[in-house]
Amino acid sequence: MAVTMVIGNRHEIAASLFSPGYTMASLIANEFTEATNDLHLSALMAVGATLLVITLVVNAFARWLVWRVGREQA
Amino acid sequence: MNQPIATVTPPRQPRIDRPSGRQTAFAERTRGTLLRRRVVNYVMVGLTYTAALLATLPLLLILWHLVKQGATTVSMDFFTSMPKPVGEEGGGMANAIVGSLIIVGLASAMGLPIGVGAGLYLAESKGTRLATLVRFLSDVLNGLPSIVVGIFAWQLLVRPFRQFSALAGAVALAAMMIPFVTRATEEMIRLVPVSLREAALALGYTRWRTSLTIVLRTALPGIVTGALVAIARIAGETAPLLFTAFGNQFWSLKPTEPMAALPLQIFTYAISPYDEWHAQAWAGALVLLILVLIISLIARFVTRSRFGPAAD
Repeated sequence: MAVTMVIGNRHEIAASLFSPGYTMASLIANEFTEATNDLHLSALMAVGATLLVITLVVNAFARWLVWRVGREQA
Repeated sequence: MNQPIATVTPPRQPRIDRPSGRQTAFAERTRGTLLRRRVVNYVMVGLTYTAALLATLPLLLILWHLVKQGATTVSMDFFTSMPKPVGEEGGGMANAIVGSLIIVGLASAMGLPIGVGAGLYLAESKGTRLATLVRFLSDVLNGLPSIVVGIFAWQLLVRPFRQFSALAGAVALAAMMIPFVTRATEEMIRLVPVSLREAALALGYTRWRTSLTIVLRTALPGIVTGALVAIARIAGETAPLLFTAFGNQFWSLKPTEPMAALPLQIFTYAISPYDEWHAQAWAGALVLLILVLIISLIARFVTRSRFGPAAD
């Protein structure tokens, strides 16, 4: 939410870090209440699912790192 | 027979420490290095000090801004009266404050027992495959963007009933709270000495009684702290409430209907184009921050009173 308020919420990939952009989370936050048809809804759900997968991958990677370090010490 | 009566040992000369050849060589080799080490040491210590300062700087800046912008709007009226329509000065967030209390209360009622129970399970059976899986999934859920939790709750509790509800918001917040409480509980229970557990078992306690009345009891202050930190964290969440509790400009006390919440109200007011609403948003943010600070202070106090000085 903090990001939504400052990032600019523009649907484009900007070349500069100083121009407005969008994040997946703010996209959902902004459009979900306005999504009226099923296609729009399921597209937003897909964005949510993508976020979930990213979280899963990052966490799995972190687990793997911890496991590897633990194995080296043992 | 010229033997001396007593052997007189000459007073010991203070030994002059002359470095041996090897030591000189070592000193020669490391003279430059020593200076370098000192410099590196100072630079690094300086950097950590700077980092520590920078870590607290955001909070100080936020606090300063909030007090500057919000303090004038906060009055008794702010806590007791309802939001005024656009264009009218004054008004308060009584409904949002009460709504936040209700939603956070409901979320805690759902999330805390599950979280503590799961944490107890993780600590009691650490080696099992299920425990490893639960731990991993808890970490994933803990890092999940709150907006995803929001759409999950929407799909689960709003869409089927075709009605935004405070209950759905509470479920979303509970889902955010559970993994945190689970992990905190597990860590706290791990700190309980094994000897205590063994003593209870030796006295004839069954395993479940040991877990519940000895282990959990001992870890309680830590668990309470974890729970309070979790509550402080969810109290400020906006994203999970956007499509669930939805917010409400009027009094709303029914959990099955849309309900106002402090973070939602702040968000709505902050992105609005009206100056009066911006002032209200600043004031709301100040109140929210103070509430969270109070909860955090209580959490510290709980840890301190039982374990002596807080271990930090």
